[in-house]
Amino acid sequence: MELLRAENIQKVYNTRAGGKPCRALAGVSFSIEAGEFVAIMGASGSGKSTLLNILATLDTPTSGEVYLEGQSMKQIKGKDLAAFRREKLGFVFQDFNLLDTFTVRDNILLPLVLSRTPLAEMERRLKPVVASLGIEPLLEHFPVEISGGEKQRTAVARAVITEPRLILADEPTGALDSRSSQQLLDIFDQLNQQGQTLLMVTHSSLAASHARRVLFIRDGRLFAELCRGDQSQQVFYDRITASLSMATRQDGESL
Amino acid sequence: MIRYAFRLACDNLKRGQNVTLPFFIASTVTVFLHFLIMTMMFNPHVPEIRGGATLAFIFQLGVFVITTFAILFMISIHQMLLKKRKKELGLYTILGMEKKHISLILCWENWIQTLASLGLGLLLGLVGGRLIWMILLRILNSPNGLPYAFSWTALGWTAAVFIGLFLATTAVSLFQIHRLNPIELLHSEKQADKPVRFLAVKTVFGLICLIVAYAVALFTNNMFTALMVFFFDCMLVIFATSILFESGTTFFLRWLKKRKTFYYKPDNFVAVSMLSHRIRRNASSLTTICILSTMLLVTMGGCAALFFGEDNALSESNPDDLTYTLSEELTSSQRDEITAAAAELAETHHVTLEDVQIYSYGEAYSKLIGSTLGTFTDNDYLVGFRSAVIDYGYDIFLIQSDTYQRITGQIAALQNDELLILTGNDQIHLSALTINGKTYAVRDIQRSTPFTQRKYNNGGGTNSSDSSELLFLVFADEAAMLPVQDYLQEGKWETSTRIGVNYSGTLENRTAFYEALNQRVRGSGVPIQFATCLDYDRQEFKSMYGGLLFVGVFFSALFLTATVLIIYFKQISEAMDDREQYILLQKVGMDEQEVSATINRQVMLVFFLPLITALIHTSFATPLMQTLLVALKLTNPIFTYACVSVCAVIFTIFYLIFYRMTSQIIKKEVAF
Repeated sequence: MELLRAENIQKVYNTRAGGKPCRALAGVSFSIEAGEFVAIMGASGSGKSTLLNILATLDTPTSGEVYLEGQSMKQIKGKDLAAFRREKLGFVFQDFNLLDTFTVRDNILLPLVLSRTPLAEMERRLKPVVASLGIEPLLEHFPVEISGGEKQRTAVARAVITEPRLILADEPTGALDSRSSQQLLDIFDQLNQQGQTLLMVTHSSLAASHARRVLFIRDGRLFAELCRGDQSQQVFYDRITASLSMATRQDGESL
Repeated sequence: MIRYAFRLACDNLKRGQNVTLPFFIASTVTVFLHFLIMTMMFNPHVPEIRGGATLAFIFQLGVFVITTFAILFMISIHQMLLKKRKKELGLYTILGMEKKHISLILCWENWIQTLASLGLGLLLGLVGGRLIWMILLRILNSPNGLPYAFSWTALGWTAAVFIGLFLATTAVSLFQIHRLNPIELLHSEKQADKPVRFLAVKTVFGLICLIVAYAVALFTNNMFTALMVFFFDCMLVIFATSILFESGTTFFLRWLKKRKTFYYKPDNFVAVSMLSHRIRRNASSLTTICILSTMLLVTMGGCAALFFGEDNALSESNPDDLTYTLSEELTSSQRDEITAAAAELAETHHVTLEDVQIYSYGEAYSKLIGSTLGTFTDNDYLVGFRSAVIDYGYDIFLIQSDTYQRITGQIAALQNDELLILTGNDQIHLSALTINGKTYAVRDIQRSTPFTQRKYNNGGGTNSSDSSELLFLVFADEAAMLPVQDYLQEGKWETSTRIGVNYSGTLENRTAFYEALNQRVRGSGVPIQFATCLDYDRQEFKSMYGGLLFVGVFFSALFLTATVLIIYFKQISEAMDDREQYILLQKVGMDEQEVSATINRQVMLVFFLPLITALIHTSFATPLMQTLLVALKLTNPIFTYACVSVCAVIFTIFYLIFYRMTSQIIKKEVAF
């Protein structure tokens, strides 16, 4: 079943008066099936963060449309948008984006509280999530008191606790050491195996190699796609690095 | 490098406008006030005017308080600003500046600010000083009062104080820069809060302190104790406030968090969490705001009560235009002589003589408990938080029925065991009075006789006591009165005579009449214990209370400046801190309306917590202040409360206006 479809997304940023408009996305189209784990790869400035922000409804495209479960996001307005974001989507950010004023527990429960979930239901959902992420002993701590990896796992817990249709991850391993990164990617694998749909934006080949499918973006356009199929993660990783270096070489030639 | 540092310093000042500008304005106001009060103190005309010694003392006290306050305030604001800038300074080091370069920049910034505010403040003082002086003289209603005099000494002192302050703040910043390493500088803004320990214990302790302080303020009824405990009580309140703001609020919010059904609601969830975080971090500045507001309210209220209560205080100590208290009885010929002299002089000096009242009485300060009148024991004079002398003390005037008859023109047919009570006090309801074991039937209580109803107050009597504490006891004859006088005066046998004269006319004529009559009375050789003259006292009051009001207005202006500045800085810095958090909340799924509602609610709470606490503190401080004001003959508590309430209302309005203004700035600052 198709979960997400992006149709010819364009995003133009108007710079200051008189300046040349900057085209961040020049017509991006793709779709994601339910239960898929997709990575979008690209260098800095390729437009991948803009794309993610649009998919996350944090930004609106200049033209084109995004459908989630067949519903156009354009039609959701104002107040409903916040609720939509809260209920259908889960976010994992590079810099964790935890609220310093909340304990780990409250950070995780935040979206549920905002949706006015009954207390018992919140408790019921919290337990398995924190158990599987190994952050149970940290629940009463504040974000400043825990490590980066623990913070990111807290952020994942916050993303999954609403049982969202789609988890959007923006450079989730960007601020983590290699061990924590590995841990996080394993968690993503696990989530995906349980049927969770994930979309991750990254420039790390290692992170991308955990996905089932990788989309490459450059200068605001998708230019390649790799599917993992039955290959092991190691093999997929080699393929990704190979296509990346090929792409770089092509760049050099075209210059 | 020096010039480069200078340019950087100028840039920094310009860039940080929303911080440097208010600071600059506040420093300028402080310089201005300091210079003005210095000018007052060094004014050579002060000793020349009536009550000048008191005024000089008030000004000296004012200079002391303002200087101390200016120093503390400026240094703490400086510290606060430096703390905020550590990240920026850290960046300079990373970019390759040495500590001495940074120090140089900071030095320049500080020097520019000091020079600018000193220059502008002194200039304002020079130009506006005379104007403000004239306005104040107008308020004091004495246009020919103290003339304004510019003083180089004052200018020198003010400059010296603020340049000294510059040296001190620079030294502090240099020391801090010297001590820190760049990594610390870079990260100093984001540090974990230290957990507050023993929350419950601290909260209970703070509450106990506050209750004790309040109880002391409420139950102290005499000015000796009030004077002694005032300082101690203030410290206790400040201490309790700071504890309660830190631990108490955290404790309360933590308790709210534990009530899960309450806490896990969208509205409460974000607000409670953010508040507990924020209040803990801001406990000290909230305490400062609260204490400053309280000081402001008490100072303003007290000065207003003194100044506007002038008539009350005057009438309390001057029931008649002119009074004499003589320490012996007068013969009827002496009485007639004085009455005749008054009539004669009134004519020569063109005043209308309204009334001359002369009578003799035995006076005793006695204890009235229930319906028993007795003498005080030694224990009663021990002054604790309450003083029996104040709770039960009445000034008793013993007179005979023939005196009553002569003054009122009415016949009081009293038996030996009967008496008549004359008083202006509505609370006295006695049907019998027991004195030294003998019970007297009270024939009547008269509340409007010429004894108690004097020209300026309803108590009558002399200036020696509070009018509501005055009781006249009228006895049948000397034989009936003597044993009572013997008992109440404890064998001292003192009979006094009171002369009260009322007259009207122009101030000039009144003064001439007073001086002539005074000369005559003093020349007649009667033993005068004390004398009061309304016109004379009014002048005295004017200069004393005028000076107090002046200093009070100065203090209020200074406290207000400080309060406003601290609130402003707090708001701005918090807005910057919170910006990220609110953006994040939106990402996670809060809509814009919810976010702005949350912001509003929190800003309001943080804003109004100190205000409400200050109002509560003030309401408890007022009775204590009133007890002190009694010493200055301000005996009407209702009036004092009214003055304080009006000040509180005015202050609250100012506070609200200021709240509106800053929230606008903040909305701009956090706009997404």
